[in-house]
Amino acid sequence: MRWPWKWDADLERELAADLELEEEEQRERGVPAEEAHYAAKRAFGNPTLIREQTREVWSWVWLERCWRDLRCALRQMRKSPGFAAVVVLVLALAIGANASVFSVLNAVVLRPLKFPHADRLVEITSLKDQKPVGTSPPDVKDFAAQSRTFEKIAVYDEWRKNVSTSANGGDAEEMLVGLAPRELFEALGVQPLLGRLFTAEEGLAGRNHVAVITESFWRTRYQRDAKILGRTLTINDQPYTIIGVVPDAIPGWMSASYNQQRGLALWEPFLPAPDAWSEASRSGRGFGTIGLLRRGASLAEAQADLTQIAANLAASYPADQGVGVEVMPLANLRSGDLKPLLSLLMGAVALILLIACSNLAALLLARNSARHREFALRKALGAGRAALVRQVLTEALVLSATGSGLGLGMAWGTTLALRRSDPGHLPQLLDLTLDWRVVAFALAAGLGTCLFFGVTPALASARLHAADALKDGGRSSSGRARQGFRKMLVTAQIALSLMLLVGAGLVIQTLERLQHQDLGFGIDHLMHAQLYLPPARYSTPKAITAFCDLLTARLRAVPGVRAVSVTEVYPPSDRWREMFSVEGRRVARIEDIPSTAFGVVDADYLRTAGITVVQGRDFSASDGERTLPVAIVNQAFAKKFFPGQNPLERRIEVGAPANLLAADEWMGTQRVTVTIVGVMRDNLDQGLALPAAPQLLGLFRQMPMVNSGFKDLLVRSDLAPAALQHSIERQLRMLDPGIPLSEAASMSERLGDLTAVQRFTSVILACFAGLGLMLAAMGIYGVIAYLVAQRTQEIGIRLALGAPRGAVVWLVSSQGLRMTLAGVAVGLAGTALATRSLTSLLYGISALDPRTLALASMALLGIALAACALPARRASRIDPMQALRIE
Amino acid sequence: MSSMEKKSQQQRASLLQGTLDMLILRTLLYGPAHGHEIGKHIQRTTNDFLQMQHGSLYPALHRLEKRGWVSSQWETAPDRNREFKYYRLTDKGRKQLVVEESQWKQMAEAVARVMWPAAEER
Repeated sequence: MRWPWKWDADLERELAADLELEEEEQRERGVPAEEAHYAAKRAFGNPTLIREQTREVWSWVWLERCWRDLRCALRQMRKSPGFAAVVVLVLALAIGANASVFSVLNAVVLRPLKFPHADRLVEITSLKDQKPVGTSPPDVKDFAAQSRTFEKIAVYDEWRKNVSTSANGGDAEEMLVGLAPRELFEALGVQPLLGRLFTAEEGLAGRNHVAVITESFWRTRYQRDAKILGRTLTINDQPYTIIGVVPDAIPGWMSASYNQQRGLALWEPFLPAPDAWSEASRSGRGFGTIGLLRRGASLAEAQADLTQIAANLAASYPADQGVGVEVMPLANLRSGDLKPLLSLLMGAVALILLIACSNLAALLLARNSARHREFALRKALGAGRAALVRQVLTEALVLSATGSGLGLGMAWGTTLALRRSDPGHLPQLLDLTLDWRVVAFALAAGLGTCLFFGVTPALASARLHAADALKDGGRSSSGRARQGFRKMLVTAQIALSLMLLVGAGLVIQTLERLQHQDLGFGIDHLMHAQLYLPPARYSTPKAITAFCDLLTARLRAVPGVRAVSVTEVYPPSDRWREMFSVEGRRVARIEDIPSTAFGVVDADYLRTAGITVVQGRDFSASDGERTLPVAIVNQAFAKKFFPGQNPLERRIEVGAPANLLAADEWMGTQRVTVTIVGVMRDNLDQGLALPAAPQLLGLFRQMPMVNSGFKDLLVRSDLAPAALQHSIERQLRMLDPGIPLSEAASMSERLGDLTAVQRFTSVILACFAGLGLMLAAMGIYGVIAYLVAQRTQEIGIRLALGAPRGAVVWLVSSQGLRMTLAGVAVGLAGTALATRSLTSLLYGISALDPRTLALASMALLGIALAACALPARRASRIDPMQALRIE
Repeated sequence: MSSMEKKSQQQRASLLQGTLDMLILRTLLYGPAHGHEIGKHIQRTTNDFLQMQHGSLYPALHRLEKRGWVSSQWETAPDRNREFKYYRLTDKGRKQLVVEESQWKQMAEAVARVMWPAAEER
C-alpha cells in the first residue's frame, strides 16, 4: 500500500504532465499559445473532480475525507468562536443536567439490584384500609408454610440497641441492630465470609444470644481479626457470641422502619419479643418481609397465592379481618417515594434537552442560511450534494461531541458533589456513580441532538441552487418554509420554558408553605436526642421512671436550660397508633374500633415542646403513679370523637376492646382507663405535609405497660447546640456511663432534613427554569434579529415611503409577540396535561394555581418582549438611503 | 452546454463505464502508454465516438493499478524528452483481458439475439 501523501504528489505530477502534453499537441496543431492553454484545460474538465474521483479508488479515501471534513469543521469553529462557544455551552449544560438526573434515576430506579436473584426478590406487606402496614410474624409463618410460589419468605426488623464490643458493656454506642432469620440472608444470596448464619433453633428465646457482624464492622471494630468467631460483644447489657461475618451486601434502604442511610452493622436472630411467634402477636404488624419467588413464578401468581392465604387467615383469625396483602418487586422498596420526584426531574430535564435541541437547530439553521454564499461557492467549485451534507453534519457532530464530553464531565462533577453533600440523607445515593448506562445515555442524547439539529440544516443547505444563491447576495428570498420551521422551534421553546417555570414556581411555593406553616409547636432553641435504657439494668417501669426523673432534674439545673422533657413521642410525627374505646360507647365490630395517634410523655412535655393548652389543664407533677391516670388530647381528637361535646372529664380505655380482640400490638392484653383533663393545640403528628391527626397523650409513669426503655429527650435552652449536647452527655455519664446519647440535633436541623428533598427539587427546578428561559430568550432574539436582517431593504422602503418608526418597531416585535403568545398557549395546555405527575409533590397549592400560571406567563411575555426589543430598535434605526443602496 | 448535449454525453459515459477497463487493457496490449496516449488512442480508434472523459479515465487507470492488472512507472517519452507515467499490462491483466473479452462477446451476442432475431435465424 502506498501512502496518501506520496500518492497525492504522484497523481498531481501525472495530471500536470498529461495536461502539458495536451497543450503541446494543441499548439503543434497550430492553435495560438494562450488559446491552447485553455483548450487543454477544457478538454481535461474539472481537475478537482478528477482528483477527487481518482482518490476514491483507494480505500483509505473515506478516512481522509472524514479528516478533511473534521479539519474544515474545526476551522469553522475557530472562525466563529462565539457561535461555537454558545452551541457547545448550551449542549454541555443540557447534557450535563440530563446525565446528572439520569445517574440519580439510574442509582435509585434503573440499575438492577446487586443480589444474585434480583429479579425474583419481592417485598411483602400486609394492607389495612389499602395502606401498607407491614407484616406480623405469625402471618409470615403461615404465608411461608402455605404458599406454593415462594422459595423463601423472611420477616425482619431493626431495633435501636446499645452495642459494645467489650464483654463488660463499657463504651456502649447506640446503633441499629438487625433482627433476621437465616432465610433473609439466603433469599438475598448473602454468604458468610467467615463462620455461619443463624440456625432455626437460634431463633428461639434463650438460644438467641448469637450475632452475625458485617465486614465493615469487623474491619472498623476488630481490625479484621481472623479469630473473631466465638468472641463476645454486648448488646443491651447481654453477652452475644459472634458466629459469622457477612459482606456489606444488605443496603440501608431495606430498613423496614428507620430512614437508615448505611447498611446495618450487625444482626441477631429474629426474636423481637419472646412471644413474637405466638398467636397473641398476630395483630402486631410493622415488620419488613421479603420473599424469593420460585423459579418461573410470576409476580401476579405470587400475589394471587398470598391473597388466597390472607383471605383464609382473615376467616380464621379476628386479628386478620380486613387485612390484605401486597407483593411488589424489591426494587420498589429501593425507589420508595423518590420515584415521582425523579420522574418529575427527568421530565423537566428532558424539556431542557428539547429546548436546547430546538435552540441549536434554529441557531444552525440561521447560521447556515448566512453561509448560503459559501455553500453555493463550494457547489460551483464541484462539491457534490453529498459532500455538502457531510460537511454540515460533521460540523454538527464535532459540536455535539465537544458538548457531550463537557456535559459528561459536568455530570461527573455533579454526582461527586451530590454524593458528598447528600441532600436528605438518601441511602440510595451512596451508590451514585457514572456507570456505563449514564455514559451511554449521554452519548445517545448527544448523538440524537446532533442528528436533530444537524440534519435539518444539512438538508436545507443541500437544496440550494448554486447560481441563485450567488446572485442573491446572501439574502435568501426562498426561505419562507424554513422561517416557518424556525418559528415553530421558538414557539416550542417558549411552551417548554413555561412548563418548567410553572413547575419550579409551584415547588418553591410548596417549600415555602412547608417551612413557614404553623407547626403547632416551637422549634427555636429546641434540641432532640435519643436514649435507650437497656432492660438488663432497667428491668421495671419504676426503674425507668426513676432514671428519667433523675436525669431531668440534673439537666434542669444546667445554666441556660429552660425546660426538659423525657418523652416517647415528639412532633412533627407520631407513628404510634392505639385502639381505644370511649366509655359509654360500645363497639360491636372490629372494623369500627376507633384508633388514634398515641404517645406517653412526662409532665413537662407540652411546656418543653411549646404546645399550648387550649382547654382544661396541662399535666402536672402531682399526676403520679398513685393518682388517677390522666390524658390530654389534641383539637383534632376532640373534634373527631366529641363533636359539639365537652371532651373534658370523659373516660377513655386505651387498648383493644376486650369483647372483640384479646390483645393489641403495644399494650398486649393490658388496658388502662384515662380521664381527659386537657385539650392541646393541634401540632403536626403526621409529618410536614399532612394535617394533624387525632392524638392522645398519657403519662408513662401512669401507664407502666408502655413505659419502655426507648426514650426521647427534648431540651429547650439558650445554649449553643454543641455546648448543650456536651452538657447533656456529661450529666448522662455521671448518672450511668453505659447509656449513650444518640442522634442529638436541633429541631430546626431535623425539620431541615425533612424538607431536604423538596429544597433540593426546588433548587434544581429553579435552575432548569432559568436555563430554559435563557435559551428561549436566545431563540426569540435569534429569529427576530434574523428577520430584521432579511427585511432590511423592505424596512428601508417602508421608512422611505414615510412609515413612522413606531410602526417599524411594532412590525418587528409583533412577530415575536405572536410566537410568544402561541408558545404560552401551548405551554399552558402542556402544564394542564402534566399536572398529575406534579400533584404528588405539592402541598397546600394546586398544580393549576391560577396565580402561578398567570405570573409565569407574564414573566415569559416580558422576557420575550425584552428579547425582541434590541432587533426592533435596530430596525427602526435603519437609514433608508443606506438600506436601498446596499444592492 | 445545452441540456440536450449534456444528456447525450451522460448516456455515452454510462455506456462506457463497464467497458472502459476492457478498452484500456486492450490498448495496453500494444505496449506501455501514458494516460494521455491511452485516451487519445481510444478516441482516435473509435473515430471520436468515444470522447475520452478524463474524469473517468484516471480513476479507471488507478482502479486497474490497485487491482494489479496494470503497473506504472515514470519513464522518459522517446519524442518529448520528459517523464510521463507509463502504464503497462501485468500478467494478471492479460488474463483479465481474456476474461473481459469473452464476457463482452457473450454479452454482445446475447444482445444481438434479442435485437435482430431474423439475422440469427438465417
